[in-house]
Amino acid sequence: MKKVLLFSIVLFYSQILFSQTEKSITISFNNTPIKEAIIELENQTNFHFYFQEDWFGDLTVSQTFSNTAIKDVLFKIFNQTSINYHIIDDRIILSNNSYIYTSLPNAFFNSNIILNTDENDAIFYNEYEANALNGKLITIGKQNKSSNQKSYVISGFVKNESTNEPIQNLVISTNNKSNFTTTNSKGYFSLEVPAGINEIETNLLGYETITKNVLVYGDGNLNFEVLEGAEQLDEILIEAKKDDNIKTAVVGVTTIDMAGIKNIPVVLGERDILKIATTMPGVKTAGEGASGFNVRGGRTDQNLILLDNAVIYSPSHFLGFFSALNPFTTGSLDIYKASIPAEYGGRLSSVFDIKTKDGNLTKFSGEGSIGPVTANLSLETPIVKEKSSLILGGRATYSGWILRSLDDENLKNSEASFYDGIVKYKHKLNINNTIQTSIYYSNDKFSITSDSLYRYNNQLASLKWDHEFNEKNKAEVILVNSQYKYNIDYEGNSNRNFDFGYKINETQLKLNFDYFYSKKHKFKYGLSSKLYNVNPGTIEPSDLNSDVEYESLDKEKGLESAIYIADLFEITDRLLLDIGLRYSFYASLGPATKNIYQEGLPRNPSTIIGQETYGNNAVVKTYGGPEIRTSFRYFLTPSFSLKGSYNNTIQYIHLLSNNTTEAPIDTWKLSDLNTKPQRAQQISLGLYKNLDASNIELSLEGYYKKMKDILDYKIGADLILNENLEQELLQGQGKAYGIEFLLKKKKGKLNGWLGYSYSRSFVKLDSPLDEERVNNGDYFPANYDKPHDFTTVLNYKLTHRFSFSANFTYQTGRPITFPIGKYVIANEEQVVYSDRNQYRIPDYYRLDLGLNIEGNHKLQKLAHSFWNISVFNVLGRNNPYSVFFVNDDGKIQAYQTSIFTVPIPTITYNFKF
Amino acid sequence: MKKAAIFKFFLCFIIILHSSCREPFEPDSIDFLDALVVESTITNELKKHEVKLSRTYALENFEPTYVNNANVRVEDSNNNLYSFSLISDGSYISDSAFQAISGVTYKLYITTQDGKEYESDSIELTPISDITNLYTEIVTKDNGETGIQIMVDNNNTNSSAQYFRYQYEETYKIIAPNWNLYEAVLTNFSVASNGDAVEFDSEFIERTQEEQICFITDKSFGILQTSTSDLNENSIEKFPIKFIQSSDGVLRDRYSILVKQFVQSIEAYTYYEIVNELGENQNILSQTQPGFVLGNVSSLNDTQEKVIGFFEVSSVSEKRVFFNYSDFNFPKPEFIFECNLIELDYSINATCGPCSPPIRNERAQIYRLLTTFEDDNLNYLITEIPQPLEGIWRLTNPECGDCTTLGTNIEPDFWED
Repeated sequence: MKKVLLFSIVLFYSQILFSQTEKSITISFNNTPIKEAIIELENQTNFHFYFQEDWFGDLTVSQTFSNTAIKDVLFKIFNQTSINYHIIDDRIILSNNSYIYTSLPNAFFNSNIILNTDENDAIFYNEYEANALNGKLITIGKQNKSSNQKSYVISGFVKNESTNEPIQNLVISTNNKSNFTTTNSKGYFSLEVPAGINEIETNLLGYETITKNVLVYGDGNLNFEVLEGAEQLDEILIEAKKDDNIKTAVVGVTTIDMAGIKNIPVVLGERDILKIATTMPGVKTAGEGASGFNVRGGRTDQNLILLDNAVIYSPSHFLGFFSALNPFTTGSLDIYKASIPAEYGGRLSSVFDIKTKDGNLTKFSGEGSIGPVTANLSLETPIVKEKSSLILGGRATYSGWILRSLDDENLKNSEASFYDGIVKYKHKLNINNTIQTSIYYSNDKFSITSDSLYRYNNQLASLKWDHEFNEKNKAEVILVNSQYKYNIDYEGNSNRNFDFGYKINETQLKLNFDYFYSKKHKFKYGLSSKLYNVNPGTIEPSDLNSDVEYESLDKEKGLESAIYIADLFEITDRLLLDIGLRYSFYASLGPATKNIYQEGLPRNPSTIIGQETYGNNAVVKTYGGPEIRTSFRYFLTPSFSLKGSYNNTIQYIHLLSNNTTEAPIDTWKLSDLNTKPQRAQQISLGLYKNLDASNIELSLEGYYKKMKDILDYKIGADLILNENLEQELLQGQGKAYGIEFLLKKKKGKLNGWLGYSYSRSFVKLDSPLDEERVNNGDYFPANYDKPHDFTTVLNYKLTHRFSFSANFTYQTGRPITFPIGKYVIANEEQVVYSDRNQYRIPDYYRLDLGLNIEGNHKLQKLAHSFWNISVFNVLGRNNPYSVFFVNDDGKIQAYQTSIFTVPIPTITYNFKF
Repeated sequence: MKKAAIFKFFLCFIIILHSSCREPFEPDSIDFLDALVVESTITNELKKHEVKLSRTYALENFEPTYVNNANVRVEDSNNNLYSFSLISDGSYISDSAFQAISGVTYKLYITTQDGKEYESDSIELTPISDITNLYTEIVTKDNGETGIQIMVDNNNTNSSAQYFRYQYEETYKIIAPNWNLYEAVLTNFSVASNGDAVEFDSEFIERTQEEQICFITDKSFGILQTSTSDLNENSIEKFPIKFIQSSDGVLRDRYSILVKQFVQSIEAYTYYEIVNELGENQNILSQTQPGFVLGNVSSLNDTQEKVIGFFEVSSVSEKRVFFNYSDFNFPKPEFIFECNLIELDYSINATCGPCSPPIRNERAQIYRLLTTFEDDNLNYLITEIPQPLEGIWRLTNPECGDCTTLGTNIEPDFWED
């Protein structure tokens, strides 16, 4: 208050007082604190200084003056500081930041004249006094009399208040949302802000939002310490990095942060980030219990799902009922549906980039939950305080116990269990070097019939080294290995017991470089190389009495490499271009023996005209091509942007799945002599609008996608242990288009989102050969074509302790091939099927409700806890999962399966310490 | 409640895994495809060949509709025309015997009553390959059943035949276990005025035809195929044709099986293979992609019209084998039909000692069982001439007393005892 008063006085006088005192001074300072220097000056001269002590802090002065005018002395002393001075007779008035103008702007007394903003547009402190500023006002930079700049750069550092860890990807924005930036991996940011008063806000899901009022006079420094939002009882729901939606040049990106989804109703007590992903427009699954995602009309194998940079081949447990990601250790998930950054490649439709949280650098902490099916615990601990941390997560089912306690004999002997574990270690070696490593393992075991046991597991290891050469150049070195395998153990009573196994292993080395060339050009470039080793199937007798003969299909090997460069080119404040180019190259490697088929004939045993044998590491076939990844953003208004992108992608690995849904026993196959890579191109255009200080986000996106050489199968194809697999495969064209709408409200008592998409996906299998033509060679709806998809997730916070949540999903039923008649052949009744996917199963809808009860709010308590009570499928809707037809004793019977036919209530206890 | 629901989920989950949590349902009547179904295999046997024509029928129906009054002919590349005539519902037999010859192509033409024209692709006779061996082995199955496995071997080292489809015809002798030489003829049936007493005259005469020893012939149904394309050697060994349980009544007297092997083209093989696979039982983890299976017959009037079926020209080879249960030291199996022996009292005053009211005699029932179904040959039969007449009559069900109710009393030409 005192300060404000002081300025008012100063301003009052400033218009009438302006004179020079030419008295010369001789004085010498050596590391003298400024306050003392001023006192000495006062002693030597008649000048009286007016100031506030705390402006100076630890500032010192080391200068020698001889016969110097007071003006020059003051200039020298305060030159490097944010302090302005004004000499009025024998009084010297110091001001922090504010320059004391001695004349008013021309228009001050003449309201008819429009302020010429190009003129020195002075900032007066009291200009803002009337604004009810909440919180302290921070001043940044020094007011400079000659400065005519309209904007300045604030830079600084954001760290976690409790752990002192830098926080990356935090959004820093100005109050009018016209300017924003995000912190880099070290927590640094730099933000261009208009001169004058600004409300600077930090925003990152899972962290408390901090608002600072700053008065900007010039470039300066501003640091933030942010509290983790989870400590707050405030809910942050789900969020794209704030304003990223309108700001970045990326089209079709969805970010989900784990911390935001704890209120969403769950089935069987599992918070599942991937399930949440499917509530977003553009991401679909074939149904309950179907693993795999169909992103913008793509097949389930077209998604690059990365956990800490390593590919996770089967990200779900229990055939898709639960995700294989530990909800407590999962930090965030970014889904790129349209413009895939040039750094990623190898899949056509999307990238799911899942990041594990960093461990707590200062103290031991943990989180856990106990639900009806699973128990889950994660622990975080510093290893070297402030430098390195470890996070551990483990999860397991006790379904085995539940099954054993059932009365039904059949179920008693069933097996259905899973577990997964993850460890991440991060070590900040020094300011320029950080290493981190993650290891993940998941395992599933289930029996389908009492004589067969299925097992599958994922195994990932990743190592990442971050290095900063200098402020402009950074590098990342990533080494990852992923393995996925499954096993079928068949143990009947007969002599046909066997063990069947499949395995895929990949190792990738990737180098990413960042080069901040200028504010206008930010480059990213790098290269990567990945070696695949696939064991497509081995069957062996599992005991001595078994008559099954050992058989192993030839291993597949392939090397996929790529180089890329991308430039984030800010043409104007409004127009941002992201131009990326990736060149990928694939070589199928020996040892291998490949069939050569007669051109223009269906591939079958009779059209094999020869075989070629390749030695170890000999190149069987190469494929490659440029991949353009380009997008733009244009601000129509500061909170309204238009974005567009064009992308093309190449995929060298294919999932073989006879099912309409992805199953863990599907196998991945590499491109080779007879199997071409899949290719896709997509154009996408979107409008993004933020309202109510970015609390409400609206987006509307449209896309059109074309794919070629996508894999399909001849009718009744046999995919397992088939050494001439190419005889069963068809490679066709696909096209998909759609429009996606999303309305998201991030804060307030009622928050949540509402998404709707109208999307279509078609496949065309045409060939001059009848045998390889499906539906007359016309486009037909893909298995996962569900035109209408409406999802809403809502939270209502009743009090700080109670909140309700609900989600509702409606989807068009997926296409199916129906029998449309019967006939008799070979004295047996058979059905005649319609054209492929000519009909649809009934529409899908489901309502889930949840209630969250927080523990008490005492500060001193052992653990923070909450209860989650959910009811899945409240309406008890019997959503058919599949429909099929079977010849029972010469007669055709239709069957339908559904998974959840009754409401499933669940109660889960969560705690955090 | 909650616990129960979770268990219910598990139940359903596991049941789905066990592929039996499917519930049967009647799909809403959806579009019905009314299409012509053609089934014909011309072989290298010199005989009158057959073409079968029917139409598809709706899911809720049980019988195909047959296509009669069509003009059916086969033309070969030497311009020989073989016309076919309808002999029974949907079945057309060539007017003259002919045989397919290698190096000649054959084409099927059909003109239906409504003037629509269809033709097949031009088909050549498949390579010739003979069944090397048809034989049996005693086999114990996974479920503990013991029985006879009928198998074929086929050495194709000198043939390019790779795809095979099998059909078989089982013929077995049956001896009616309760047969006796005489049958009862009942006449002058009357009911006494008090309504209680039934009267009829009875006469016992020798049967006029062979009704003790008969023969039954069953044709195979379904698609039975194998191929050598994925084997190192082009020969088939121990391909299972049929399994007969040791207790199966077909073995009781004498059994014979004729196995026919059709050499198929890759196209025909694939067609039948897919049709067969689509009709097989599947679990949730391995649903095959269904779809319309394209055959080799198409419409000339409308290229979009769907026609089902395949016209094949196959070389055929057949072998027959005979055996008895005793060849395998199996115990004698029960008769194929369950036998019923009924004893009924013919006496005028059936007595039961001091019972009251007195039990009536069973003449009415005797009369009913022996005469009511005379026209259908389904009457009960006497197993002996009742001695005395006024005593107990022993009757048996027709299947066990008269073998013509089950089979034919004409011994087939090929039969060897």
